[in-house]
Amino acid sequence: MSERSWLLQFPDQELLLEAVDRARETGLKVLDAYAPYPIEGLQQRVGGPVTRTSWLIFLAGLSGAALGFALCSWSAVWAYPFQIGGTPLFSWPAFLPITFECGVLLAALTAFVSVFAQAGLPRYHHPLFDFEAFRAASYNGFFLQVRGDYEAARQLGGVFHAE
Amino acid sequence: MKWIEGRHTPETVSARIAGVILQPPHQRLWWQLLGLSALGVLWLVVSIGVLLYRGIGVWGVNRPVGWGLAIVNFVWWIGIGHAGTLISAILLLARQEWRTSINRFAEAMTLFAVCCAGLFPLLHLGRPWYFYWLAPYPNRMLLWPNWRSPLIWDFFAVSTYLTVSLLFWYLGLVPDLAVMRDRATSLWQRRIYGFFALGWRGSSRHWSVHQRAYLLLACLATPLVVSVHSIVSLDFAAALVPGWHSTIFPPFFVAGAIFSGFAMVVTLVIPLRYLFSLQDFITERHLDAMAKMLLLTSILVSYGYLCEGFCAWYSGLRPEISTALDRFQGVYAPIYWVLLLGNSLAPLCFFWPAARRNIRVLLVVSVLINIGMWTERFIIVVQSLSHEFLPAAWRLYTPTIWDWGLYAGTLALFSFLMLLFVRFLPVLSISELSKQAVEESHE
Repeated sequence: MSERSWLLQFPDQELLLEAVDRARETGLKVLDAYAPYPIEGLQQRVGGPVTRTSWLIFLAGLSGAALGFALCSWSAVWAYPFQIGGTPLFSWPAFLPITFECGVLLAALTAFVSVFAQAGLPRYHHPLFDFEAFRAASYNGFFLQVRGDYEAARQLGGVFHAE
Repeated sequence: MKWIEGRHTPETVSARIAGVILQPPHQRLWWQLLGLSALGVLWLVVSIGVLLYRGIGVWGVNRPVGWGLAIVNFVWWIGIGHAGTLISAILLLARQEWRTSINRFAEAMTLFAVCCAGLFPLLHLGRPWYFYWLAPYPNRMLLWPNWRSPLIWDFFAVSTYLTVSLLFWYLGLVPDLAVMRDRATSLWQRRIYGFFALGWRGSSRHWSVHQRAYLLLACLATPLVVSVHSIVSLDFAAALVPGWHSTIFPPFFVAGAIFSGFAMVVTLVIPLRYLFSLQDFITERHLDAMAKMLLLTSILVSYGYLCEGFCAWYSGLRPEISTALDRFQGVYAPIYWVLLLGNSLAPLCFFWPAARRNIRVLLVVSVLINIGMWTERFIIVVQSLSHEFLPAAWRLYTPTIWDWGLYAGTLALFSFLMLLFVRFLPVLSISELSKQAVEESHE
């Protein structure tokens, strides 16, 4: 039997998690699992990459803050030096609110973009959407996509959809 | 603790919430309300038009009361927005599960409130068409903004707040838009929801990056929300006007913002759960939890009032003492008494559990708080300015029809956007409630 990928549907998260573990034991390659809500530890069990973008977002926040501070300092000291209320030109405490806001803004934008960059979205169409049954993945069904032997895939239970 | 009533599965949760959009109940009422708010929006457009054509003189502002209703409304609206971020971000980090039922709705409220708020400082500029001078950009006049002014901090804080709130809201919305795409029956609904769902498939990879980013955005939104109203309060605290120049202002404003925002959430959520039969998800226990938040923030705000009075007395400065006494005895005293009634006295009834679970009491008190918080901003802005240092300069301020027109117009704009939101987007978070329903069924 040739190696193909199969889509299995389960009624709840326990059966899905159980099937993920059994599929790996029986030598099937687990491609992905789909659920209507986040299931803790599912990504680790599926064996997909768990990327940590926290450091990237942290760096973005730092550079946003640095940019904000640099903008204030440069324009207040060099580009447009102007005496206001007897304060020194480089009155840095007054620049901190904007420094903070710029940092948060850039970090938040990075966090948002990183979701879609990592998830490969936006993507208007996907072959899985051709399955009428897969429409339930967002609100009712728990799906498992495996590659491997037909018999082994059949053994996992659930509703079987060929791909 | 069980937060969802009845037995629910992801299927029933999504059917109930998507049903609000796909088989909309109360269509007639919705159209009537939408029509009414559209008229109000028209009135807003007229008020703005008159303002632009004839200038700031159409308002009641004068010397020394240069900040009239425009700034009162700005602070009030921004404050209302804060509850949405508090519910969605801070309560998420604090693992308060009851937030799940109200966060989506409260976040939408935040967005619309910030939109209404943003209008006022711009219109208040006098020549609003030059508002972009606030932004730092290289220009042929070789001018740069004055970074030492709290007003420019405001510009940065409010625009960052709007952007981050929008990102947070949309990120939470994407999986639910996918539910709408998949549950919708008509082709166009599927296409439109599908477009905005960005191809979400709910794969484990999607969820893992989504959850991580959602949590990080919550971590970013938490200090942000505290910074925004602190910065708004610095507009006042950095000035020398008696009644403004006080270090208590930033925490006092943040507490007041959360207080007024929660009151608005309660005011809106009571009809919402009733009209759309969402009592299973927004239970009496949720209302109880919100009433406790109202009680807590009411006490914090009342502490702020006490502190203001104490600081005025302790300063020994005659203008400060005179302003503080004028609140009780002056022309604006009735407004101050409304403030104390609405913000400090009425919420105390929430010490009784029966009051926290009584819908009528909740609705009446939350509306009183909304009014009370508006009068608080009126007292801070108008009363303080009208009672400046020199008695010779004292002058009262009376709002004109165009002041009120703008305020009423933004109320209409807010309800117009809210009505569109409940009609076209899932009012509660389907994926989060599904997860909660499954977890609770295991308990």
